[in-house]
Amino acid sequence: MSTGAKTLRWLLAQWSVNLACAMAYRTSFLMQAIFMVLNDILLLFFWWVLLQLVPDIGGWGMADVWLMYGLVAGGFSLVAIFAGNYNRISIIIAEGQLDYYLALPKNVLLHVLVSNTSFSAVGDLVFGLVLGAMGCRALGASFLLFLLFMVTAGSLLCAFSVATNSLAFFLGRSEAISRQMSEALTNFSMYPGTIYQGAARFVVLFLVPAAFMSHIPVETLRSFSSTNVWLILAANVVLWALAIAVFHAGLRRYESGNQVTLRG
Amino acid sequence: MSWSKKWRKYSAVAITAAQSRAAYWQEMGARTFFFAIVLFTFSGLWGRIIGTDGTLAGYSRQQLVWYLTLTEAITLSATSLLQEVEQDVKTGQIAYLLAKPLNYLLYQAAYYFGEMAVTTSLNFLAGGLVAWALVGLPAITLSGLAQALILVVLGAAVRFCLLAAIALLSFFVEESRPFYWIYSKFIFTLGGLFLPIDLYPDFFRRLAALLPFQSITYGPARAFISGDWGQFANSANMALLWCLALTGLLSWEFAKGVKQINVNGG
Repeated sequence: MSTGAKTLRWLLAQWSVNLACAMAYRTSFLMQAIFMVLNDILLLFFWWVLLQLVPDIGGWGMADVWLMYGLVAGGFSLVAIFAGNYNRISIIIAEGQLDYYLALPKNVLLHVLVSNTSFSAVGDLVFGLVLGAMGCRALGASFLLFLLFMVTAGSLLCAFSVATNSLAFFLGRSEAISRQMSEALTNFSMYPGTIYQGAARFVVLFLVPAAFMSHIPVETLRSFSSTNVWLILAANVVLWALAIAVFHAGLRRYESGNQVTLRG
Repeated sequence: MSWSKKWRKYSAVAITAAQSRAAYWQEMGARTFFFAIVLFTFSGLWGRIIGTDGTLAGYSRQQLVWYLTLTEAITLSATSLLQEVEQDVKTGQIAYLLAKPLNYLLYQAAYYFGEMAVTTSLNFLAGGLVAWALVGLPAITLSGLAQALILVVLGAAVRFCLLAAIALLSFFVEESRPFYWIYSKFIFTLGGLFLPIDLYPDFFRRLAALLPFQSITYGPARAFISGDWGQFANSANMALLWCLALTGLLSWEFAKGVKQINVNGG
């Protein structure tokens, strides 16, 4: 069996174990998924009220907002489901829990990422797909392209979180900073790109890359540009290269806490 | 026990809570960072829609940013009330607390107000500095400031009653968290967290005016940026009315819940 097929088999086994864990608290899982959807729907209330008062926000109408929310909610849900530890890496490092992963013959970063799943994010996934379909229909955009951008949005969020969480190798307990940075990325992605001008535009392009997560994808869905598609894919590659480099640079500094832990 | 003794007792609880909350400066730092990001984003949003000199239904960009500064300062001033009461009920700790020479609800109220005083003030200070840097100082009047302060306190009382009522639901249902999530969504929408309620479509404006959520965020923030006495009287009356109604509901719920406690020796 090839290495790729072996990895895929291992990943599927890991996710099915995660699903079994989540199903142990079925009612809680269902409640959370339902409330996630409710939460997402109510977030749109603000935009609905605002767009009753003004015709558009720098050229963005309600259909653009649907696409933007669809990309962010969908992208987030993919990461939460398939790489649920994306925003817990700093805690795992600070508490010396990496020992467990280092002792096993798997890619450390990948193993850490997939060891946890937030199945309540299924609510976000459904919400994201429905909004994406609505937005694409209203603007005559390609749903396949939307799905691609949903994956790149999730991938960017994951890479960015890996990079910021890896700060724990250098700073010690830094989960508050990492969490806030990831929240900043999600927050900036949930407002129309046209509101960020001047220095703010630089921030969302290069420091907290929300522009590549939702702003440029929405513009590309509205009016297709192959340059933009390549830009988004390139941003993913660059950010992942940076995240992996920072993680491995940090890993060389990692010192075991000699902590004995059990993983459920 | 005389009123002055009672007052001293519960004041001591409030002061202890305030001191304890002030010790968590890292948590506050993280919250301030989030607050700054929200204000930064909304300053850009209002700048794009309104521009520097325009208005949106009578509100300038500066007024809307400062409105958000106060509503967010209030909303982000989380206290441990929900967690504490829920834990007391779920673990049965409440049975021991009831035996102490303290009224359980008054004790929780004193603790909540102590925490709120610190978190809201610090949030407002930090958010205010960011808002000042982004859009400058608004034309605040002394009466507007006094009105806002009174309404923040009344709103905090309404919020306490709602949160305690939700936490006490643990007496009757296994998980009370979903009720809290509903509450927080009502604050977001009908509480006018991001937008003053008078900008809402007619139906939602009327609905929000009837419910207690606008007393928590919209009332104080609107008074802060307008200083209108007529509006203040209206908001204060509503807040007082809801305080009375919710205090009654809370006492009834507590009495009913306490009857369900079974104490087993051991």
